[in-house]
Amino acid sequence: MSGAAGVAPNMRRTRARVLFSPQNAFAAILVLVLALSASVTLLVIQSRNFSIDADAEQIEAVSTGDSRTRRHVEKGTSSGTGESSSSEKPDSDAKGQPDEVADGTTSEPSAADAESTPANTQSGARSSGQSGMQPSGQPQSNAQSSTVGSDNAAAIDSRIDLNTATAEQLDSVKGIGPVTAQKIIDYRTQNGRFTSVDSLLNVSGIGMKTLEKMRAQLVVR
Amino acid sequence: MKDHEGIDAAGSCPSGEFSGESGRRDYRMLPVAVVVWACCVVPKDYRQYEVFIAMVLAAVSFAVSAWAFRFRKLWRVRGQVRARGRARVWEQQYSKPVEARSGRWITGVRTCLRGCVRCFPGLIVVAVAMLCVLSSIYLHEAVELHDAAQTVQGHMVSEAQLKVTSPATVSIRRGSDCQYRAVLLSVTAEKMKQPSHREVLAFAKGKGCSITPSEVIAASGTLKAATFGTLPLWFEMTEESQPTRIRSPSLVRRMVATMLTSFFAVCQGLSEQGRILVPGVTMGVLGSDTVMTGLEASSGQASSDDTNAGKAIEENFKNSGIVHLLAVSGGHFVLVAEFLRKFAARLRLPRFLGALMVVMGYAVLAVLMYPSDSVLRALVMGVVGVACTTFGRASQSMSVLSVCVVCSLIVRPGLATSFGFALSCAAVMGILLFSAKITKRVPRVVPRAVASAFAVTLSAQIFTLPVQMLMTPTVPLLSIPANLCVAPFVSFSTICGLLGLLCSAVVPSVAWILVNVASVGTSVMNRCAMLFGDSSASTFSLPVSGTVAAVTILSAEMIVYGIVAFIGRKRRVSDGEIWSGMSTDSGTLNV
Repeated sequence: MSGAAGVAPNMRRTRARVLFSPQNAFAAILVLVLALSASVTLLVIQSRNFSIDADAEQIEAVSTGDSRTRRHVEKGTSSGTGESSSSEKPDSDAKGQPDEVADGTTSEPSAADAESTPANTQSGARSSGQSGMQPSGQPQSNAQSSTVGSDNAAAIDSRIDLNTATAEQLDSVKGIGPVTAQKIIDYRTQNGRFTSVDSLLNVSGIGMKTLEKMRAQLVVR
Repeated sequence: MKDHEGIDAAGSCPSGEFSGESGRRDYRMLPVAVVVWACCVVPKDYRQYEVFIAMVLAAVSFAVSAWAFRFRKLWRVRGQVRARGRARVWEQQYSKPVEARSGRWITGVRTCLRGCVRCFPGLIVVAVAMLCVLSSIYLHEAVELHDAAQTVQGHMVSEAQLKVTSPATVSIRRGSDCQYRAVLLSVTAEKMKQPSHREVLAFAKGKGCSITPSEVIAASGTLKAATFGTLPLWFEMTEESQPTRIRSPSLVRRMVATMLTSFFAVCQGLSEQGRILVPGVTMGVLGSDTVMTGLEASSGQASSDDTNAGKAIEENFKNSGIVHLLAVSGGHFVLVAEFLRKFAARLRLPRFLGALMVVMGYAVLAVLMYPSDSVLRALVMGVVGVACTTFGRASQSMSVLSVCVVCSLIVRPGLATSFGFALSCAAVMGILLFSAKITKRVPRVVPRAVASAFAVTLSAQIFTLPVQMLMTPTVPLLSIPANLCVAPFVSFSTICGLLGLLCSAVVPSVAWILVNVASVGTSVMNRCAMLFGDSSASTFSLPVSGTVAAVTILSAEMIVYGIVAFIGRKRRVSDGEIWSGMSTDSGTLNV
């Protein structure tokens, strides 16, 4: 019988170790729990960064008097801003509806910007945690929201719908000339409806600065 | 005393018992790693069944183990066995064939029960691992679901802030000049700025390619779902988009960018194959795929016009089965670790300081290399291995690999679908399982170095072939001779390339000499790739693809393994190494 010196072949340690003892199992479970804790900690740090960024937006809004961000705060953005974004765009399948909802939301800030006072902005910013699109419950804000609403109707009507406008209508927009208007018409013909005003960035000749100049005059329905 | 008698329910062997287990072959965590990986790749619809199975398994295993532990005394050896009597007990126990021992069927039943009870602690570990990884998967999916990127996906983003995480390489898609990995920090759509934290593959043009890893930029573009690749999201910057820097890169990254730019500049003086292959062997990216960027570059342009040549060379490497040489893997880390260990031993440094040097060397190497999942695997496995040996544990590579896989997948479940990570792990597992055994089986007339290279190549191919079938159903038929031919040149080309990279920014003349030496090795590799890969007989394309091809190859490998094992057992029985008909309680077939 061959084998190592003085050791019978059937006594050689050749079997792989595959069975746990309770102590080893406990140590392995400890390693697994540590790995899970590390994973959860990283996710919590990410979520915490979300909150810090959202709070930084609030502070910036308070200091600059941006009522759009005030409305953003009132919807409650303490964590996972997807919730607030989902409340704006309920269903991405219906392409028309999210844009209309978005238009409704964007129309309010544009008029509210002209109407709001710093005092109201601060009071609105402090009332965090409220959901929905309603302004804060203070009477002053409510009176302003009704004023904003009536001005919104006028603001919406004057804007040009990118999906139905003709070249002449687009030419009337400040920042768009006849050549750019034709490019927009050609882009719409080739690629279909515009899903948002930001899609104009895909048209050659329109950059960020140009878009910002004419954003208030355009809408997508 | 009967077989396995005295091995208690705790699974440990009291003094006087012999289990035959080898401490160097610790495969306890291997089933755990396999189960964890399977949980990550199972479709979402079946996850609730996995949770149910894991909870039931954990409950049953815990209950049975607790019951068996209560009766542990019944399983112990009766009385203490002294040293003198121990040898006699062993001799009495194992000197006679199985047939001469007690034939009572109750002994067999007890043995089976004992075996089952011994399995339950392991089943508890498997169940806990399943629950941990499923919890991590659910948490990650919940965070991704509420991420802003999910909402604006498919839409134009007027401003996105991205943190660049990899250097720019030539784009794989038309319409873009370059691509790089980045992490979305925020997206602005319809004047709404929302934080995000999704990893994306960014495609840019012109000056958009002038980026440095770790810097934060703002750009406009479209966020869309990826149609292929590891990352699920793509960010396509618009043509007019001029990315603006929000935060400068860190000092370390700027130094690395300067070093890389100098290295690529030095490589430009090499021959065509040297320009392409030396960066590939050194850093894991072909020279034709690099984009000249960095603080000095005013605009990002492809650093070489060798794009077509690079594609041809890469194709030859793939067909000849040596494309793994163009990816950074554990080999780079092993070279660095060996050098630093010997250096620390020469200086008589304490073990802890030596380990710290090795870990720092790993970190520097990981920063210099182009980031990839195989680099991550090598880094994690290397650090875990160093930590274990620093604390006095024996080197257990399979155990370290399994722990690396389990921990990596729990922290980042997305790695389970990464081909780079899968190929890296499969190659290492194959080498650990079969390399030594295949080396022993090679006839002694073959030189040891050749036998070792042959064994490493064959054992790595065993597990990587099924994974490769998931990507492309093409089998490289000449990979073994190709690997044998290039094996002597890989290490010194890698070492020269790394040294050239380190001193390219400081002493370009020395770097020039080093990269030329590396280019000699890469020219041999290129010749071998052309010889073995540029012919119609170099590959065999399966008529099926995807999972079917992988299962086909796996089945073929198992059939071949079974045939080889049967022939090997017959030969050893005829040689008298094992007794015919003897139960394999401790003298297990070592195939």
